[in-house]
Amino acid sequence: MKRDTGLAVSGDDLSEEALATVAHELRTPVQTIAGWAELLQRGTLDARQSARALETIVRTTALQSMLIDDLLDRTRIRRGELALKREWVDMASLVARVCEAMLPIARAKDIEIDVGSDGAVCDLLGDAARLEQVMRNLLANAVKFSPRSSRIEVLVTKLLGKVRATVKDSGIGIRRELLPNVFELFRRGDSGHPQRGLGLGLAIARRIVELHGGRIYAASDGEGKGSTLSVILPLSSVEERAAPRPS
Amino acid sequence: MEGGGHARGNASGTTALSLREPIMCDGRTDLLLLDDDRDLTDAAALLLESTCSVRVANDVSEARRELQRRRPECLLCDYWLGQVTSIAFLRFVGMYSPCTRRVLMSGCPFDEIRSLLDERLVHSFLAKPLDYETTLRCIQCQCQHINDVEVGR
Repeated sequence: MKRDTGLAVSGDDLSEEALATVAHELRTPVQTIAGWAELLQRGTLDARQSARALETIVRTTALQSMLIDDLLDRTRIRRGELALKREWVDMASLVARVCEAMLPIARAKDIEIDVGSDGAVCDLLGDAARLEQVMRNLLANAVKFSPRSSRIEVLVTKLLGKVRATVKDSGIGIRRELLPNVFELFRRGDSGHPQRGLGLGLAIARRIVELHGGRIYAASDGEGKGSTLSVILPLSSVEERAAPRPS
Repeated sequence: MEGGGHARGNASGTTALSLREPIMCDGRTDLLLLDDDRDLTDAAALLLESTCSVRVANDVSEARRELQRRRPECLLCDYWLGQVTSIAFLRFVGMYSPCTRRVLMSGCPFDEIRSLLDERLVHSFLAKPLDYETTLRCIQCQCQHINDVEVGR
């Protein structure tokens, strides 16, 4: 059985199926949060279980918050209201920070995140919060489609006035003919498997990257062979870096 | 999350099964819970353990191993298991352990789920988010059905 993987959007409205999927995706974390909260309320958990309950509630709430942010950003994108607040950003530090923040979500599936950098200065004028969102969405996508107990490799390198951040997973992969569609709004990768999720994260990531004058692309050797998502952003020139920094 | 009790069925056999094949009887319902979300299964297992002896599986392979170790009275199974549905596994359970009551849970009552009820691939459906009182009642109701069949009511 295979569900339609492209959620139909007509005009400004979500289709019934899209709304049902949105409801489903919002409900799933509620189930987890409610379950652990009820256990805490009963007062029967030991110290280790209580810590697990709190950690799960915090982590799941963060995931749901990301989901709601994505939904709001979808509206901003459609209205052309997604704006950037530019500041100096060290891309390598930003990526390391996001990877650290995503560790609890990855470890819930026994997934390790390896972060590497070529050590070059990777300063650019960009919206730090939005660029964090890009990396978070790329990592969340990798975690979602990776098998348990696997590894995600994240690498930041400088090349010809640009910085490239790649997120490589060993997950379900993407069929070659579907690679161009991966970043479309409400498009979930059709790898021949039924998919869950809204398919918003990568579309939002692409828009944010484009607003920074960069580009984003996906590569995969095919189904079951993992995928690599890359972001390339223009670095600021020496002159720009010498100029007064935005307040 | 292992419960007490004992299995009376021959877990490795696949032939000559009948509705009367014994499963287990330790006072609590032997429940196999299958969902790919470990956070959810761990919480659900704790919430249900006062009434059920809960075994947890987070993928189909684990569930098959548990099923072969001991056939549960009741299977509580999510519709979506990662990137696949549980339909194939439900068919397997229907063949391998026909006396196991199969309860499906999902966040969305899609048409295909209703058709699973129609073709008796599942005995009952629970909408997520689960209310655990309702879930327990549903499990007990399903297992009462087994008891009724066993005593010939």
